[in-house]
Amino acid sequence: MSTPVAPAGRQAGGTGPVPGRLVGALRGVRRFARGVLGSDAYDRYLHHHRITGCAHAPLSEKEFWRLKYAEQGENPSAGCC
Amino acid sequence: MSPSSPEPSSGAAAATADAPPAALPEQTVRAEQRWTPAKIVLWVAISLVGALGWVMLALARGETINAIWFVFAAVATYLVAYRFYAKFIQNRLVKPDDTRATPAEAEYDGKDYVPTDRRILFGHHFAAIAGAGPLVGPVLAAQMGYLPGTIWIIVGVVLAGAVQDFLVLVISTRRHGRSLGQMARDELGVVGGVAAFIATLTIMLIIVAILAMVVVNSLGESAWGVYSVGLTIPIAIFMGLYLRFLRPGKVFEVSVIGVALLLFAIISGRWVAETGWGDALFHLDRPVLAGLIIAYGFIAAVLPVWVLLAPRDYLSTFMKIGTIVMLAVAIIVVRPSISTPAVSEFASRTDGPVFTGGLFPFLFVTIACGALSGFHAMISSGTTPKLVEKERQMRMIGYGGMLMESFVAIMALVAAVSIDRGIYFAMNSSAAATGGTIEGAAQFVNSLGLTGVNLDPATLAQTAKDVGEESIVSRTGGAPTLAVGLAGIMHKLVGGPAMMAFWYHFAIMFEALFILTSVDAGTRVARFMLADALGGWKPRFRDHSWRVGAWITTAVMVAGWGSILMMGVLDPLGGINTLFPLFGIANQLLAAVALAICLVVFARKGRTWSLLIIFVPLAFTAVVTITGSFQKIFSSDPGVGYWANHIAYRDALAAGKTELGLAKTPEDMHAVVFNTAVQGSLSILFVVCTIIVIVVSLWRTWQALNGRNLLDTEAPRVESAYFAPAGMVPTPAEKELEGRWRDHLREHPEKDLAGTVGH
Repeated sequence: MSTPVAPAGRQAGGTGPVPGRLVGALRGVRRFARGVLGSDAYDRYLHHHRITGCAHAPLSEKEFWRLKYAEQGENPSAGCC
Repeated sequence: MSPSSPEPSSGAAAATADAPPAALPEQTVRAEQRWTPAKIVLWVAISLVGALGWVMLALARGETINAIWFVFAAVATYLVAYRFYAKFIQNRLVKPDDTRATPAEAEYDGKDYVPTDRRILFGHHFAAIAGAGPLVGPVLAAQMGYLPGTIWIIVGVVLAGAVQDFLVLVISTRRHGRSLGQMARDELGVVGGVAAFIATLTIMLIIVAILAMVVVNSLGESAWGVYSVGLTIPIAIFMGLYLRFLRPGKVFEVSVIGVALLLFAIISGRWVAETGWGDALFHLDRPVLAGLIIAYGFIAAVLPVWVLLAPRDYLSTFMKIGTIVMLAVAIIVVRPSISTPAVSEFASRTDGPVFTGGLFPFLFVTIACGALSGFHAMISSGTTPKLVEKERQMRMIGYGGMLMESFVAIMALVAAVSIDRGIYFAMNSSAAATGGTIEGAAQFVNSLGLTGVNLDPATLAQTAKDVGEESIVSRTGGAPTLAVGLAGIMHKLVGGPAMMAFWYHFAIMFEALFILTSVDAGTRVARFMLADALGGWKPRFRDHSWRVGAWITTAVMVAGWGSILMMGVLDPLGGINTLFPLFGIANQLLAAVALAICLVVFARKGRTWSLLIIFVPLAFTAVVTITGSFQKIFSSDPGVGYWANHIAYRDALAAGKTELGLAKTPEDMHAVVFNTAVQGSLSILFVVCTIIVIVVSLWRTWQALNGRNLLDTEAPRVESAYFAPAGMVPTPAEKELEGRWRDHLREHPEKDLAGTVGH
């Protein structure tokens, strides 16, 4: 279900050449960093939109982030001490 | 072993007939955990390394000790605790059920509820719980030597802190990700709920106030620091505008740009501080800085999130993870040798200059976040439960995340004890004691009668010069000490002595950055809590788009923490040393509240003896914090008790005296009378609220053990049609099942909630 962060996976595979594995590893690092920062929120939204079969057109990236920050302002969460 | 048994363990009838099971069969899980000779050898080896680390820390009596032993003792203990104790808690108390959908799956909405890769969620959760607390507390605790602090940070996290984070995550995940406050109301009823609410709100204010004071103390009279931390505001606004108008959603990209600008702000700080105008503009006194932070707190909290809070949060996350990894590498590579004694003279006294009070209970409250932090219960019951994929992953995220935080505290302790002890006390004694001069500081520190400490004023002058500051005397609050320690370690790894000043200001900036984020976020959370409470009286307050209401509630909350901050900054007795215990007590009282709620929930689930897993840390933290509060309230020693001090100064004023102790003028004496009254009253408020919560929860637990009042507040069970491995590295059986799910989801892309298969 969840693709491993580190290379492995289908494309990179055990037999893949070193550059392929390196690309896979870098992709994993990017995915991790984006996930931790929350940069992938729009991708998640689009994915949800796609698989739940909503009839209306999805929000544009700009609209989505505006709405997201507006909602974040309504539901603050504290960081920690 | 045959993991591919087609029959799911507990009759998990997934949504479609051809779907693989949502969990591994119980016998497969057990078979994979069977002991093999290789595993036994591995765990024996880990235990031996840990034991060796502890022996070196506790028993070695050489001149110095190498910092690497801290790493060995800590990491090996964490691994053993995670593998054995956390698993024991999981099996006996939590009993996770992976055939049951988590809120992320059951309430999947693509926004707040999304199944998130466990490794990403681990990073996310850790970034949310880690802040300035674990960095500051251990620095102050170093007053008593390294050993008491190390033991509490490691043993405390294993038996208390990580247990709390793990269990709060568990109970919130089973309740749609409800917050701690909501669960308190559900489980404890009105009285317990109201007490928990008051405790949470006031604790939030005191935490914001004291963190802000840490920033004020580290930036006071430091033009370089004020300039570079001040620049984070325009940098964050630039990032906000960039994301809003230029390239929406390019968070990673803008964070990289932001970090580059931050580094420039640190480097250019030296040039600016060396100019006449730079010094004139940015060399600010502490009360002025406190005023600026109060104004900043108000403006930041009423501005839309995208302007300051969100971009600042990206920067803090980036810096936090980057710096912590860097510091860990540096400690392992540089391996500084430590000359601080294991147990210092102050461990058996109550009059330490850094914080007053005896080892029990004040060491336990001073360390705060690194060992046990009630504040984490807010995170464990906020975002994380809405993102976790599987119930079995909560051990890694809740328990494991807190172990990481504890390791951060250990690193902070190592950084603090790696600096010369004389310098440590000169930096952490209040200005009233040292007079703020190098000569006064040297005289004061030498008069403490510490073995092996003979401080020369020239050493203090040289250290200040090395780190690019005018003075390092009486830089209380922990952050500057940590920065000197970090600079001392980092310059050996990167840059040499010439880079010490850079690393010092890097550390100051790093802490100020996320404290200011906490100030902003904490004010917002407190404002919403107040608005919801006021909504009962005037419903319009519940409408968050009502600007006037937002300004009023924000102003009230800022006035709340701002007045405590100002009081601390102007306190003739030093501020940090009197207020920090209040912060620690508040934070651990909140932990007691969180543990008390967990106790009721699991008692109502029918657990009996396994409740001891919660009861023991609850009893310990209750005893520590209630004893601490009582000493602060009732102690007749003016150095410890707020009211004793209050009465001493009040009587002295009544007798016509114009100075007493560290207060040299009648105005100072009036300030002490007022401050101690506020501090004493807050102590009473916290302890009363907490005692109410604990008593109510013990009563509910007793009822539940006798089969009465068995409320079931769990969300209804939803069958899971989703699979993900439980730990960081998938086992062979998990890999196999993951593969089957991948094939299945390729045929049914509409069920791929995490969206990781199609790409």
